[in-house]
Amino acid sequence: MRAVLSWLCDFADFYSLADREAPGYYDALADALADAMNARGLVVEGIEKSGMGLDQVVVAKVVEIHPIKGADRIRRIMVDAGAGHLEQIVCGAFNFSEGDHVPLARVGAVLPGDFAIGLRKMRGVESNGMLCSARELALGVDYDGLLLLDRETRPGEAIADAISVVPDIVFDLAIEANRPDANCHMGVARELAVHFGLPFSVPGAADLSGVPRRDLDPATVRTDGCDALLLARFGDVSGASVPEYVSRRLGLAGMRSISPAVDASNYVMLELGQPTHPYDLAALPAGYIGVRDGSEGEELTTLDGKRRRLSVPKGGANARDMVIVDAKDQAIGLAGVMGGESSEIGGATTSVLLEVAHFDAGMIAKTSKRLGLRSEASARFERGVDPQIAETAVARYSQLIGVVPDEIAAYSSTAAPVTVRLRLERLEALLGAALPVGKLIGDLESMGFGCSETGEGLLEFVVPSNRPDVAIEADLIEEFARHYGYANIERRQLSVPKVGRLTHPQRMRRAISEFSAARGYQEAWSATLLAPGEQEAYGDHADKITVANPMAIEESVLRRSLVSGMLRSLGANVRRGEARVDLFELGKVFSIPAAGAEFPAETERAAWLSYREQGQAEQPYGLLLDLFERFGLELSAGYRLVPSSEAGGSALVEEGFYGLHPDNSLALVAGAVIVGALGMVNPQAISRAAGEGATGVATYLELDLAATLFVEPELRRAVSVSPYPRAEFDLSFAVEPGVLAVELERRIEGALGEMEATVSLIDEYLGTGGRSLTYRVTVAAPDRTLGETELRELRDGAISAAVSPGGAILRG
Amino acid sequence: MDLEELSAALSGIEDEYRGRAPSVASLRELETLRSDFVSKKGKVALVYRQLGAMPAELRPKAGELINGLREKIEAEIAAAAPALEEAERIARLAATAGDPSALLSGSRRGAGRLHLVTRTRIELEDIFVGMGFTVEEGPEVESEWYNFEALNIPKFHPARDGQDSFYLNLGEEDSMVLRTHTSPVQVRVMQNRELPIYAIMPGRVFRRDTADARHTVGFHQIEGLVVDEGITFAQLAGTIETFTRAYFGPGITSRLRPAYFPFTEPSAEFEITCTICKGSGCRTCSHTGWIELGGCGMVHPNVFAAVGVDPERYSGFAFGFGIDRLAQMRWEIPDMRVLTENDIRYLSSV
Repeated sequence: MRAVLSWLCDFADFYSLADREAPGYYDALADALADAMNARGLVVEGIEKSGMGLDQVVVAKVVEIHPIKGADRIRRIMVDAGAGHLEQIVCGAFNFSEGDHVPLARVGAVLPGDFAIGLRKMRGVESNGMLCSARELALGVDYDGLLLLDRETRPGEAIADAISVVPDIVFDLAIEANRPDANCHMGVARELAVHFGLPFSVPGAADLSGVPRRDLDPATVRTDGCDALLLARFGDVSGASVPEYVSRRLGLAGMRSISPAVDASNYVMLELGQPTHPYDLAALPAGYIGVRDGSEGEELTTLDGKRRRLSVPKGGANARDMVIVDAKDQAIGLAGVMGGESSEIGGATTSVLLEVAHFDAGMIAKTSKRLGLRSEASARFERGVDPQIAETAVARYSQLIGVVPDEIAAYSSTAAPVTVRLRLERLEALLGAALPVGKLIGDLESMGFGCSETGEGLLEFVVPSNRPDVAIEADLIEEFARHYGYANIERRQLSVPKVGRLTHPQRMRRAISEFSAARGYQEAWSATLLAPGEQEAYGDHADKITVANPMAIEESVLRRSLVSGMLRSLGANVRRGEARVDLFELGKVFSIPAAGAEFPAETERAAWLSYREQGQAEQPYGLLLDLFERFGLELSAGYRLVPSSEAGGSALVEEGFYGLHPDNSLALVAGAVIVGALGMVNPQAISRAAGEGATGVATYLELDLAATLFVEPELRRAVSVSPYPRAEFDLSFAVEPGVLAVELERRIEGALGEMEATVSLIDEYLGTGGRSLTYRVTVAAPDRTLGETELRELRDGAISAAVSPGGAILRG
Repeated sequence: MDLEELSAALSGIEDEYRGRAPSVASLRELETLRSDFVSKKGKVALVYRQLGAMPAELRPKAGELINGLREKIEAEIAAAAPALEEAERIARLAATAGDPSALLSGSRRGAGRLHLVTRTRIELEDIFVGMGFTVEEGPEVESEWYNFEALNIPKFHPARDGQDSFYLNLGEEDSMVLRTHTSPVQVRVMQNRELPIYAIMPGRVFRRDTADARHTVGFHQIEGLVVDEGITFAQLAGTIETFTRAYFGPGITSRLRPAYFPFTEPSAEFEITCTICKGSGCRTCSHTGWIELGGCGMVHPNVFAAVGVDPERYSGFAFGFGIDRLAQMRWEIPDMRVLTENDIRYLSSV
């Protein structure tokens, strides 16, 4: 909503808010009003001053127009600006010809918006200033071309003298969706008048008491989306004109001046908030219009020249469009949104039928959205127009064009006013402040509320018809708070009767992140929404959750693993030439809901990706061990590592782990559930993500956090450490490729029983003789020094555990 | 053996010692020398053992001669040690001298960083936890009931519009969405936790916006909810101010102005002193001195009704704002899309 100061002042004398004689009067006035608007929730997004700062702008007569070689968007213009010689200007507008008078901002001028005009050169041609549009001078919204001045103006004359330039201020306001009353000058002015305690009055309207009236035939309205319709017939508007300020104010408010009949309609809308629509009566057989629901496939051409086809989507009553029809039941306009071309007001219009209606907000909103067609009218109807303002609107329209209607026909089924009760005790209890209630009731009455006391501390308010936002006690409490001023409510300290603390998973999330960063990983935030087929390309063919209305198809499928996003990030980095990339991420993954469940399986995972063009990438098994060690978990307690192929590649994918090398990856299993995966990234996946040029290797670990790192370790008493010397021996085994190193390690550990032992792989040999693994075992007894015999027994036990079925063969 | 023979034997040992001593070049050789001559098994000790074979009257004199030689050798060895020690210390340092800055490429593991959004979230959580709040969470896929209906956003409300929300092909049409705000967590917390509630709810949310310098498709919000007996709008304003001072530091204050949200009444927008110009007016704040940070208000009675909280006994307030936007303000991020690009050059530089 663009609110024009002079327009607001028609309702109350806001000019008196600053000292007219003082320098900077308009600045002071703008500040005072903007502060008040902001404090009342009419948010000021911009302030533009009009008719000021035009000292260096003069009338220039276009004398010659020359093309500029090699430029088709600018021309060289020679103008007479009263200097006694022609001056050269470069100009990009094309809406004028030789002999036209246009505004010239001279070098040194500072146009509204702090736009300083300097001497410029374009395509080697010097420009001694700028020829201006109405918008550049803040005199209107037109910027399609230069502002064309009357040819009676004198070249060189200051623009402020040549045309009637009125100093004015435009406030660009963001009006909240629940305040349709503030979407017009009357509403903004009323709010401000209450704020400043100024007398408020609505500007003059024509006296229509003598106009013949009749009730509209109920058959005129054949929809339940229109609860009031008023038609005013103006038989002769051929001599109609509107006051001079109408087109100027419309321009400042952002609307173009078209003709008196249309301008008056727009003016009434911006002033009172009631959209009206003037029809050319000559185009309406029998002078009739009606309203009904649109039907499937019905077509009409709207004022913007577009052919619109209506449809009736499934979804019931609220999904219909409403149309305005003529006597032949032909659609001639989209009700509440835009008129039709066939009955558009034109230069030849001599008689007008003015439609003033009240439409259902939801239906207008739907139509506007469905057709992608938003107009000043639809924007107001969809937020709610005052159902009681129609008569006032007609009277104001009539007064503006200076023509009294021949007849008014009306239909109305408007509901009774809303009443809301307020407990004064509740008012102060909820706000936490003592309020000057008597004064505030006066403010509400000035806003149009009716107030009566219905009991001890109990008030009843009749809500004005332009305030659909007030329906319950809390709404009234907000209204009181607004008038009191939010800023005047003294802040109070909250005392919290509880202890603030993070939960274990919340603490773990931080600890995992810190651990990973300390290890050299950068935290990534990758896409939750992926492209169709993206996960399939990495081997995941499970069903996925998809977005019904994606913005872009590349962002339409929910991720089932973090790996796709990690690979995207890897690809982007490798393409930028990175030779090593270490990324980690914590995030949610999503699977189709289990049978009967409403919500999808949404699990939190952590993933680590390590890429090296050369050399060793992170060993993911080592990372897993370190994570478990760091957070007090034991892999041997309830977890198993199984080769992906053995776990069943499909089972792994089923659980949302994919993208790994089928023969160089492991599944982490807890009980019977796969809760993680680790290993080499499938080289094909790297090529796909990073291009064929990516020659490095990547390793990967992904964990279901709830099943792994979020598990709270059992509390253990401090363990004592053996004070006796440690013995050490190495064991070498020949193993089949399918045997896991970790499996042998587990077996050896198992054989050492009560001993304090560490088993570590110290060599893996892959050669012509097959594969061999060498472990170093260190062992100590908790309560004695191990003797030779005992040590030999332990060693033999370890060997036989390792070589038992499915295991290894001892090497020499 | 008589004393003469003894003397001759000792002279022989001393000569041998004198023959070897000059070539000793290390502490280790010195120790060998000591061990060979004056240890318990050394040459001098061997002579000593022969004392038993001497007449008793000769023994004191013999002992004197033997000890004399031993003490002489011991003293000489002890005297030689410090110089050798020093020489060895110097040699060892020389052998291990080098340039610590000669770090070979790739030999450094490097340290990573937490994402700017994570860092911001942690800081916010810490402030509110310090104030006594707990941290609550909820799912990113929400039902329309939690995301809209329970929050007093009825069907056909513009906020539900497919323009803004990602609806999912799950269950009935338009029944599930990627949550568009963290406010549904309020509903879940009121359903599942004992009153009173003092909680914040950070999380990822999704809006159907084209990604540009100011928007990413997913982003993060933090929501606050307080429900207790006697909670007031004045306390909401106080809480916002406490947070503002704690997070932004001295010189930055907050203010509330009327606004509209379906799930609060009264509702307010909260603004803080512009962090760029400290309130004097600049381009960032459109010369107002204030920047808008988030929304807040008293919990709407319809929201209480949806979760079965008695609005006559309890009152509450809620507030919410963008985490990513705070990160953008602090690190002066010109284009929000860097947050999701995961460019390691960027991640490691901020």
